[in-house]
Amino acid sequence: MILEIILALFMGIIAGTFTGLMPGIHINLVAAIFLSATFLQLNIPIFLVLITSMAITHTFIDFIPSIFLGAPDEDTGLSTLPGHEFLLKGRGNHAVILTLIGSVSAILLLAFLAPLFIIFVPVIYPFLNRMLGWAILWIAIFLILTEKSSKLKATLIFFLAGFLGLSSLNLPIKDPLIPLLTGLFGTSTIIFSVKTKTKIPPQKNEKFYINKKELIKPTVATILVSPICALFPGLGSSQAAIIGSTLMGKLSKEQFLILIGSVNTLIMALSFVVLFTIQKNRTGIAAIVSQITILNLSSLKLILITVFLSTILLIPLTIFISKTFSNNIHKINYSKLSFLILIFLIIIVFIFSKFLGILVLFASTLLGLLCIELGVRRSFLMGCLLIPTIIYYLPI
Amino acid sequence: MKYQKAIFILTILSILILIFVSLNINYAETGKIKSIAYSENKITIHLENNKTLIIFSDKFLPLKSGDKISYQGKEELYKNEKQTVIDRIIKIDEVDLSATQDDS
Repeated sequence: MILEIILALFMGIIAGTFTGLMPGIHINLVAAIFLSATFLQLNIPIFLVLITSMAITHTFIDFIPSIFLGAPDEDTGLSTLPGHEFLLKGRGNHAVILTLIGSVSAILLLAFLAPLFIIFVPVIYPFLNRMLGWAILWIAIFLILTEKSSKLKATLIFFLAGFLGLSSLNLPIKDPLIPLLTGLFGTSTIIFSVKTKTKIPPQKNEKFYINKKELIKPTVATILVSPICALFPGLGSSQAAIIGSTLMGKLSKEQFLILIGSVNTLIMALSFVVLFTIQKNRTGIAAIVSQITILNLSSLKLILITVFLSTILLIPLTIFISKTFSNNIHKINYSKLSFLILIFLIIIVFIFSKFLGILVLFASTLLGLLCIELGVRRSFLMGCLLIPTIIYYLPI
Repeated sequence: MKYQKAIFILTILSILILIFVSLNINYAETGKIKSIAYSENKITIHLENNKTLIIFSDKFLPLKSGDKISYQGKEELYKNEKQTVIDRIIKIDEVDLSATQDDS
């Protein structure tokens, strides 16, 4: 049994590395394949270890294509821009390490937050459910009012993104978030890079250093926001990062990357705790777990141990993969690579979301480009999820 | 500036097209009811083509075995079996039943 569990842990890490590195291949898809692959005849504890290690690995690795290739998924979209800036300064590896610090700090926070969740969530969930719509509405208004460059342009982008999100999420397509967020953050960045003839400089293998004080703001923001986002559907890592950075005031690019790394991992890890405490699925992975078992305390312990063990293995693995990218990215013709990624993303969108998905991808790419052209912060593009979430949660 | 204007106009146009499509597209499926079962906050409808429809509601629907229906919803995998969670259901040629649906 122990040997099988160790094998499942490694299999999960391999699968999560694959889903993390391949833009457009979501862990939910691979988890669903594992679930339906009855020939594997996995018993429940082994399946839990496999799924958990895959999910946690994905949250560590998925920043690498986002930063080095400009090809994000729904949770890493906001890391593309600061990550790309680091890449253009020869510090792509540095950006990945920052998200890694975020992910590792999230796992440390999990040890502190999981017991609190088990005790308090059943009590506060009904109250939060009533207040959430107003809270996000306030955050959206605050986000616009604190925009320094042009409030009008920011408002325009925010509402256009909202209309885009509302219409896309109401289309009869599978996984509408794939074309929506790929266009807003991925293809638009790639097209802009090609248009401006971006050249990736040789990457520096500098010694990593960060002032410990830099960790305070992202850690506090993660503690404040991740639990709320872990409790409610429709609020993902990107929204959590925006809300967190809004609450904490000005964050440096380094701090923002740490923040998005930590919320991405913490929301995934907490979704298992939420499933245990209030039996609600807040991530696709938690939904798949709920299909095979009702989580009890011993299953949750197994999941949490898997999370911690996976993290120990993922630190060197993430650094190794990031360094490999970092050492080789400048040798590649970036325009050709960007073109290939663009084609790949279009194919992925077509496979998952068919022609309507391509239409969404087209519209979202244009909006992403417009946002870049107008010089508006790209976090306003998250209006595509914030506005539908506000409408869903407001009690009107 | 011209490029910026062109992008702006194309963005507005493409979003308008998406809004139009999302408001007008008809993606309803049809089927004939084989059986219908009520439980707490959930109605399970089995169709003759072996599809299972789920409606999260505690209300009674004026439907019975043999009725033809048109429905819209999202297909999901539950306990390794496909089922469709219904957003809208209509008894064909008769009343629109969607008003009885809960948003949840």
